[in-house]
Amino acid sequence: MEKKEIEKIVKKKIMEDYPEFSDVKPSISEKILEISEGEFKKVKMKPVSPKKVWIAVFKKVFQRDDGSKMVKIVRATVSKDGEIIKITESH
Amino acid sequence: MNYLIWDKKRFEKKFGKKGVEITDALFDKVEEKGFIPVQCESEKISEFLKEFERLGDHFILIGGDDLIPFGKIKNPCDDGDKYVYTDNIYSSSDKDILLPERIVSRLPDGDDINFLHFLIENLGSDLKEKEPFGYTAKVWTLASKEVFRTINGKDIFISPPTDYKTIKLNSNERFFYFNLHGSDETPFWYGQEGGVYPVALKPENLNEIEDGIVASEACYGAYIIGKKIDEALSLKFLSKGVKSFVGSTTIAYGPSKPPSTEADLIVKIFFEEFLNGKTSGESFYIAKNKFFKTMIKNQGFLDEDDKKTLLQFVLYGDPTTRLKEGKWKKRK
Repeated sequence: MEKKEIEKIVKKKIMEDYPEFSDVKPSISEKILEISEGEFKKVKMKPVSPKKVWIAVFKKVFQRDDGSKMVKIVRATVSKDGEIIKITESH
Repeated sequence: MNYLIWDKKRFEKKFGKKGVEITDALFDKVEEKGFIPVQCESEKISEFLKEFERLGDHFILIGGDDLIPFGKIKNPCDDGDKYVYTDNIYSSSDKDILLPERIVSRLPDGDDINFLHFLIENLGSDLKEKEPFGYTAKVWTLASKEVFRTINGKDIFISPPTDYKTIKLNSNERFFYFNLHGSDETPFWYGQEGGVYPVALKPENLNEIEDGIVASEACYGAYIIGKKIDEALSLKFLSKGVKSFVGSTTIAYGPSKPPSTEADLIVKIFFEEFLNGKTSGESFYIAKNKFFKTMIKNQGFLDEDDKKTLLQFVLYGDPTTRLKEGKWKKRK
C-alpha cells in the first residue's frame, strides 16, 4: 500500500479512538523490523525473518494541571497491507 | 550467590575516603547475610562478571549514574528521548542487549550516602503477603485492570477523579501497581481524562508506606539521573522501605485496553512471577524474556516501542527479595 492510503486508514482510527489528536498530521514511515539472531538464541527460539511495516506517530503538546507541559505520543504499527496491528500511547 | 558490584574509584570521588571506609564496613556486615562485595571499574563490569558468574546469581550495582553509569542507547522510537538509559549493558553478556542473561538490579544513591547505606542494610529480607494497591489514569482503566488482576486487585484508584489530595497509601499495602503519566522534570505522576492531566501522586503521598514492591508504567518512573530522594518517586519509594522498584527510565508506552503490550506486559509478567515465589530479580529477568517470546508469537516481530520497552525498564532495590510465604494464595 502507498503511504497516502496508510495515512487515511490510520487517521480514521485515531479520530475514533483519540479525538484530541484529530488535528494532528502524523509522521508516517516504512520500517524494516529486524532482530539479531543472538537475541533468539538467548530464549531458544527460531529466528524470524525481517518484517516490513508502517509506523505512524502522532504528537501533541498538552498542559498538565500543575502548569507543566508534556508531549503525548500515539503510535500505530500497520502491516504493509494496511492492517492496524497495534496502537500504543506514551505514558 | 549475591554480589554487590561497586566502583571504588568513582565512589571515593563522590563520597570521599570516609564514605568508602564506612561503606566497606557495612559490606562486611551484609556479607554475613550472603551479599559479597566485588570491586570493579564500571566500564569493565560485564566482562568481569563472566569470569565467575553462575546461573542464578544476583548482581546488585551500587549507586546511581555517576557511580555506575547507565548504558546510553540511541532511542529506537521517534519521541522526545534522544537516548534510552538502560542496565541491559550489565545484564547482557554480549552486544545483543535487548535480552538479559543475568539478574541485575541497582541500588541508587540519590546523592545521599545515608540513603544508599539504608538500602544496603536492608538487603536480604523477604516480603509478607499483604494487600495490593493499584492506581491508574482514567484513560487506561481497562488496560490497568487487566494487569491489576494479576495481584488479585479489585478496586483500582482512577485519576481523575482521584488525585494527590485524595489518594491515600498506607502501611497495609505491599504490592503497588501504577499506570500513570510521569515526567523527567517534575517529581509527580499524573492521571488523564481526555486533555486533562491532574497531579495524581506526589512524594509526600508516600509518607505512611513501610514496605513492599512497586511496578510503575509511568514515563520516567525510574529516571534518577541527577535526582535527589524527594525529586523522584522511585527514590522516595525506596527510602520508605520498598524493597524492589520496577520502572522506566524514559518515555514508556502501553495500550489503552487489553491485551497487555509494552509496559503493561512487562509489569504483568513481573508480578505473575513474583507471586509464584520467584525473587524480584528472577521475576524481572523472566519478564523481559517472556515479553520477547510473547510479542514474537503474537505479532511476529518487535517494533520500535517493544525494543524500547526491553531497554528502558530497570530494577532498583533488593533483587533477592521474595514472598515470605512462597506461593501467592489465589483468592476465590
